[in-house]
Amino acid sequence: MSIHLHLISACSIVAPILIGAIYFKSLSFALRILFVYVIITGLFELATSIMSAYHINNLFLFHAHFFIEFLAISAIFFFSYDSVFWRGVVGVFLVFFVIFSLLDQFYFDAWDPFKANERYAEGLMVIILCVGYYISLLRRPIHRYLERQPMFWLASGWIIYFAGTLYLFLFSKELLAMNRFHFWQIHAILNIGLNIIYVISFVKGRRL
Amino acid sequence: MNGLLIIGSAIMVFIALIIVVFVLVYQRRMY
Repeated sequence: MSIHLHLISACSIVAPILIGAIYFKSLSFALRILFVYVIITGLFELATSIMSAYHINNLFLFHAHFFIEFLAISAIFFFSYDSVFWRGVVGVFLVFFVIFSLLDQFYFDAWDPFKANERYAEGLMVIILCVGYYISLLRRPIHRYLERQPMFWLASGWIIYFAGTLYLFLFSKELLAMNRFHFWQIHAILNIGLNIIYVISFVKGRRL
Repeated sequence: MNGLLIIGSAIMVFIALIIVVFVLVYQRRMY
């Protein structure tokens, strides 16, 4: 069951890549960044699956990926916010994330292979950015139907994904040491949901 | 422990869903 879930989770990235490629010309700049990020994620999924099949340690790819993930999410929010304040918050979070990662690497948790602290910090910051996007939406109600806005779908997808994984990463060090726990299964379900949200965002984001 | 993990994640996802629905409904009313 778990192998199937992992396989579906890894393969589900193909859907946003295909839909994004079809609508690429009619996407906004922020969604084009998302498309590039989705392609990079697809390549990472492929590389990690191959390395996993040959029993090679692929954890360093996960580390590289979550740096790219945070960079992409920050860039997408930066180009989507109307307010200067929230754009500043994105900049502050980026600087904080780099400094925190370096400190964590050398001082706090140098021997944690999973980098749970950084993932936790990333999750919290993305949730704050999503809430910031909602606040800016509610301050200026210019959209009659929010469900037609791709950025609303993206922010909703990220807030659900990172809220779900935040709880997992809190106990990741203890849980990963014990293989029988459903750590990666829960992560796989959330990841499949996020990829579906990416597809919806690309479909909603195309300019007709 | 497995159950605790699933329930914890489900609660977090549920809270996030409530926020999303709240934003959707509140914005529609304000428009």
